[in-house]
Amino acid sequence: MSKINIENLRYRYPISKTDVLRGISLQIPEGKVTALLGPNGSGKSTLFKVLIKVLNPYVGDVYVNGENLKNISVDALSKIMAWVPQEEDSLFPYTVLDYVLLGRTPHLGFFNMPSRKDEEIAHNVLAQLNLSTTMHRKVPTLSGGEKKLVSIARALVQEPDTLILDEPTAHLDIGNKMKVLNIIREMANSGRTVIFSTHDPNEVFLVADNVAIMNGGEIVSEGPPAVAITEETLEKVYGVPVIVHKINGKQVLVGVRPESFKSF
Amino acid sequence: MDKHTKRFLVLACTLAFTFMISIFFVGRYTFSIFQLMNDETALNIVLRIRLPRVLAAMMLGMALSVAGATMQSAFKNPLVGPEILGVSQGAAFGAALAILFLPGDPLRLEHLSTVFGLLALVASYAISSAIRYGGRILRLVLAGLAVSAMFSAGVGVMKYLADPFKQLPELTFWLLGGLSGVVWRDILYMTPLAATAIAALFIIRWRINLLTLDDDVITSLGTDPKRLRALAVTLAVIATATVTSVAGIVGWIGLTVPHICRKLFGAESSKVIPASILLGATLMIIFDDVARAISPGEIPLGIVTSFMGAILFVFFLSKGVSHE
Repeated sequence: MSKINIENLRYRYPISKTDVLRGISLQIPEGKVTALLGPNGSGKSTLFKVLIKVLNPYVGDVYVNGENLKNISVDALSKIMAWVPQEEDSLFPYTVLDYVLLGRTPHLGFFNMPSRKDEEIAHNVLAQLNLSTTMHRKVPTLSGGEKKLVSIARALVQEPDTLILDEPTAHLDIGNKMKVLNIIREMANSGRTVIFSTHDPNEVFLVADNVAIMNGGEIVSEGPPAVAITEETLEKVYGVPVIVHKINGKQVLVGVRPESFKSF
Repeated sequence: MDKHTKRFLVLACTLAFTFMISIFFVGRYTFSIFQLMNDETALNIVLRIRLPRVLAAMMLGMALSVAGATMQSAFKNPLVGPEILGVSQGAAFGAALAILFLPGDPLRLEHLSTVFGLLALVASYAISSAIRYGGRILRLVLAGLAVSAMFSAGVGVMKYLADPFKQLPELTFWLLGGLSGVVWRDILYMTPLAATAIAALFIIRWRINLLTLDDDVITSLGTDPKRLRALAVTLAVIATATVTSVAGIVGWIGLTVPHICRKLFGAESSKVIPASILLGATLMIIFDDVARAISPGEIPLGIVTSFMGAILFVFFLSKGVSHE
């Protein structure tokens, strides 16, 4: 059963003359990890922003749980779908706990403050992500990896059934990358639908059940990673010759061919 | 009891203490309770002069501080004050108009000043929607700068046109800020509006946190960032314009107090807002005490707050561990 159904979606930024999304059709299955793979500027972030109703109006239709996105209020959507932006920075020195508690907003009345129960939910999520010890630290003092985990924690505190992560591993070292990818896998294993974007095919092989490869606002290939990601597709999309290595018959690693360096 | 609760109690007690001291002891005469019961003049001084004045200082401090804390969140920038959208200059222009063209009419200055302070907000929003540069917040800041400059030019024109012996000094003193001559009528004028705005900001204090996040994140949390910001900013401007119309331009409190509160209570606005209300009231009463009692004449309050506010600002920002 598909969680999100995107039908012929087109989006153009105001003032711009060209579409950033040029007829995207995609089914995102429930309880699986779907990756959007593509180079910078291929429209991945834009697609996410349409899904969370930041960008309006668009042409085409998006269905979430069978209901047209146009008929779902941002308030109702925020109770079932959470988004982790690529980067966020705050000049205000919130503690990790206070920051993560902001994720309870969709479940609180306009005049209400988080209750003990909300705090409990935040504590549990922080424990789950091994962040309990940083709970009282201030967000601006955290490392890049910790900040990313805190953003993910805030999204999880929303208790969404769908989690959207925009390039969650960008700027992270490989240790932190693996942490984030493991969280993504765990979320799907616990029944949530996870969609994340990346420009690194290796991450897709590691964690995704399905992949949609985007280029120039279109989906050029989709399916299980082992089928959808081929050397030809990647070369076309990234514009450099690549090798997809196979270890034990599984495609696991993508490298740039040495001849793409002019100095060789 | 956790440390924040203790600090709140200390702040509240300090406010109560400062309030009492200022009514009975600060001024040319000091009074005991005994005197007040027997001496009608003493009672008159306390009830007709000091009490409204101390109440005005309290309301002024609360309004500017809570407005400052709100604006800093709404503009995602800890360096803005309540005057960011040209409210002070708008209020100044309204006051100047009243001084020049509507002399003698009681409360005419307050009314015009409040109206023009609010007009600055409307103008800032209108102009920001026409600006084609930067994001939503930058556009609003730029529009506020332009509105502030326009009203400031208007105040200049009024000063130029003013009668140098009567109107110009009145305008100049208003611009320096102060609470001398505040009477019950002023309290009755500013309290309903300012107190309502302050109370409303207090009620939505936790929501104000959201404004410090990216607008897209706010949307993804199910809240319309534009509407929430417009609500918070409008309440802050109502509070600022109303008290400014009575007190004139009183700077630095709205910038400094929220900073001190964030040092004491952390960034979370459900603590910063009530703390700003208490500390703003306390500090303003103390500064007004200094303004009226330190010399035989009266020092304009705006001078005291700028001086002391700036010193406190530097002191608190240079104290403790930086989080950057």
